[in-house]
Amino acid sequence: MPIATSSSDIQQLYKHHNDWLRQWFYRRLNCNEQSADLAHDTFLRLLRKPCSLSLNEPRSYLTTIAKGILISWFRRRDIEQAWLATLAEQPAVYAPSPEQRELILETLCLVSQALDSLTPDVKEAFLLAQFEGMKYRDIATRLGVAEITIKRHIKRALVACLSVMDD
Amino acid sequence: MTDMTHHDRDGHNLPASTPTTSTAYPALNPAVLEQAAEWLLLSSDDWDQPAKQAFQRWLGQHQDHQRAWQRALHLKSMLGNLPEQSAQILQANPTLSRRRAMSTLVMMMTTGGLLAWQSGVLNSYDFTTRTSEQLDVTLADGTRLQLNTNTQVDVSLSSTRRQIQLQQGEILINTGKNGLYLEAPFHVSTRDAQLQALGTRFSVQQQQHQTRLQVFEGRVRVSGHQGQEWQIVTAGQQVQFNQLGIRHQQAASISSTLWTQQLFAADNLPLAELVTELQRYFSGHIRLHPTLANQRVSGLFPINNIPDTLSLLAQSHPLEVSNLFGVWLTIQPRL
Repeated sequence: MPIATSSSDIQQLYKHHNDWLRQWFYRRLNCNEQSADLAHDTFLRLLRKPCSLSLNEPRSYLTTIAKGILISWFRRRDIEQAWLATLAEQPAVYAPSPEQRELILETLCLVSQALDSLTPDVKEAFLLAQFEGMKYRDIATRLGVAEITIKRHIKRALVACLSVMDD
Repeated sequence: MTDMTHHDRDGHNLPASTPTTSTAYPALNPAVLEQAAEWLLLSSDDWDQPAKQAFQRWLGQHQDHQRAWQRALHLKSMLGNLPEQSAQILQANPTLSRRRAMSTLVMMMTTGGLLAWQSGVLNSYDFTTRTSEQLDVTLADGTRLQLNTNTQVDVSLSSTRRQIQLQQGEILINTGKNGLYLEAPFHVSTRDAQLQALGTRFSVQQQQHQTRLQVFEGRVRVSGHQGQEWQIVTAGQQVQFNQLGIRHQQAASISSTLWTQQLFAADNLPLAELVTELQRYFSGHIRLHPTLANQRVSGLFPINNIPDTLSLLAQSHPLEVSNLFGVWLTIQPRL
């Protein structure tokens, strides 16, 4: 099976499929600029990822990556909006710098992505412990399970976060 | 939208799995990540000696353990910097938020936490950096607060008082004067004393047995924790004090704020002191051969990648640096 690993192969892919990929994004976003950006991100991810790329079906492979990019983008947009809305409701305690803002958004996206893979109970246990400062015993009572289960839930959530992180 | 699937504009379901973006390293074994998570949960308690040794053993067993632990520490620091409102945002999942809509307001006022990472009440905020991290924040009063490596501060702002508690590490402050806080005095407290900014730019470092204050603009009043004034330090001055009072006074050194540019300046410094300084920015261990301790070095050293910096040093001095897993660096005389 032909494998593309070199950047010149990816350049070829870019030449032949970039317009098509932009169209693919455009049909979903209705925004030219954003579509061009995300198509660009797709190729960047290809370049970064040590991949075994089947050249027989480049578009189906590109679509797989593009879907991931699109999900991340939706996630980030939703989280950013939710965060700005939450901030607007609160008395302004602090105004994070652009760098700090970016860091918080990235962390939120990461945690959100990690939590997606978990059952509602695990997710709730983690959020209660992390952000409401509840003790395991109280969470156990609230969710109607044993305390040892909560401990396992928390660990599972941490592992999920660690799994979606890069070095 | 944190549902398992996402509906795009055409109504298609997109799979929730995202292609991974890992680069040079192979993926870490889930079992190793689980061990790292366990250590992370354990590490919040006071460790006894056997636990510490067990941890060190685990860490030394495999390079992947060190990678996983770095990741765990990074996660801890990232979660620690999340605002409390994060729970609300992460609960955007419809089933959860319906069930818990009533508790979101209560949540803002809670204290404590999973690993005691997050700050307490609404009008206070904690910032932490781990080793080799820095942070640059602008507070609501317009104050620019920069944290150097391995630093922890509690910030609390109100219209009558602005208070920064330096728990550990080093900060550089440019006080701001935004509307609501215009009249609020600005205080920094350390283990050793209380400082009051009198319109100003200054840096504070909590050292092991004392605090170092350097004033670059304006003045800072230094008082003991009982309230007695010790000294007003003016621009260009540097003082060191402990709980008993001011111990040393000398000229402030502008090069000591170079950390904000990720640099450290050494001027004819014994190598041992340079190593102590660089160790602050490195989470592994640096070991210096005793015969090199008094060798003098000068120069500008990048502090964002300590192994690289030491390799550079080795090129210009008669010494050798060996690097084990990127965690243990040994500096030896070149034979």
